[in-house]
Amino acid sequence: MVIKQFRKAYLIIMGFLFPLVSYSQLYYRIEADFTTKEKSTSGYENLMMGKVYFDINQRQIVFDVYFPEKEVLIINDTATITVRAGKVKKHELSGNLIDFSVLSLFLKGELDYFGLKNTPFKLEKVEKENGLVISTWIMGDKFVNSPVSKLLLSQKNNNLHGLITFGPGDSIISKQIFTDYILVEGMQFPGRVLQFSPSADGSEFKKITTYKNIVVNSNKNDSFYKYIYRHN
Amino acid sequence: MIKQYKAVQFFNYAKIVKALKSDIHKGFNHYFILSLLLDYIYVLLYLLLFKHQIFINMKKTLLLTVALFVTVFTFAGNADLFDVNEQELNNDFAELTALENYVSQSNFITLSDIQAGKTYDLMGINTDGMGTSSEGQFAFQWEGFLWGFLCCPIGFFVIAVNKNKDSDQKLSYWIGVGASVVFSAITSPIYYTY
Repeated sequence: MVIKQFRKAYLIIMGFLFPLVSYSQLYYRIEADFTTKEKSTSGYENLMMGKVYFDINQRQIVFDVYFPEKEVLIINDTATITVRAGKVKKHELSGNLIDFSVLSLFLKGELDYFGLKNTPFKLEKVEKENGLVISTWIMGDKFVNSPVSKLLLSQKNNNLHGLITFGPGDSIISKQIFTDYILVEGMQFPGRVLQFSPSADGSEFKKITTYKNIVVNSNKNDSFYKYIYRHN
Repeated sequence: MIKQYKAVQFFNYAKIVKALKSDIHKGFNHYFILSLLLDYIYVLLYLLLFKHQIFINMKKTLLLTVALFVTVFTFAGNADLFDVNEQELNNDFAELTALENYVSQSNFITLSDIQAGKTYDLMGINTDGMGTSSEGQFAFQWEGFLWGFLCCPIGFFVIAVNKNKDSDQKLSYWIGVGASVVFSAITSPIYYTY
């Protein structure tokens, strides 16, 4: 009788505790030191260094940039906003950059498949080659007018390794490679992201982004996580 | 004759396997496919010439050849698409990496500071596109201009005091207002004279 009551009490207590424990595992904030190096065969070069902040509930990625110039760059659902010396510049966006950013995918635990499982793209086939597990994703919804016809996603050691985006006529629109994984709170985060894409002028664009000193669920730097810019 | 055929058959497969080993990691290779096609034709010719002796082997030969073709087309270099030439990448970004290291050690130095103090040799780097995202370059906005030029009282509320419009829109609005004033100043005397 005592054992039965004890079991019941144990189950009730665990029933309350387990959701709390599960909730504590949720990641909602991430910050990191970042460096972006860009180069194009047309001669364009750029170096950007600073710190990036992302709170999944705020739906804006905030870059506190100190090089080339001190400024704050904000990416939200509709625009990119640059704030420098009190001046605000806004450029409207057509695509969703937040949901497919490495930061957002990491927090949502969808980085291994680049969030493709929640898109109209359907998994067509999976192959194993040279230590890579390569999956082919095709547009499964005929009503979606997407410039992307196909995606090749590769995984290495269960981590996202690469993503190749194909456009009309199976031409490569962009290639992204994710390397130098860092263990952050039990999850793998790519410390280096390479991006290659042909530019509109026929040149090739290359970009290297590196992340260091990654912190998740920080209670500090609220002013950046919830950055409010004042229009001039 | 069977021995001779088997020798040739072995030679063919040895060649195919060798080619597979050497070329499979290089992706889709036209010469490799051509060599496989020649091998295939070669085997078929043998089958035609000596079919009475090798009838039993024919099925096996065809199956193996088809299997090899299927393997080749399945392995047509998807993994190679993910290859990155790290050496080339390092060479391409050598100057930017050197600048990155300098900035990291120089405690939040900006490009303007470097250019003003000439503390780092920027000769090998094209800095034209750096740091021009929000300052120095004004991007003319037709929407703001037209509001200012055609209907400035309403445009004042739509653009000038609208929190969602950026500085380029607002400056374009005031350019439009200015252009409207100048245009009116020129055309009004002409209108009232005639």
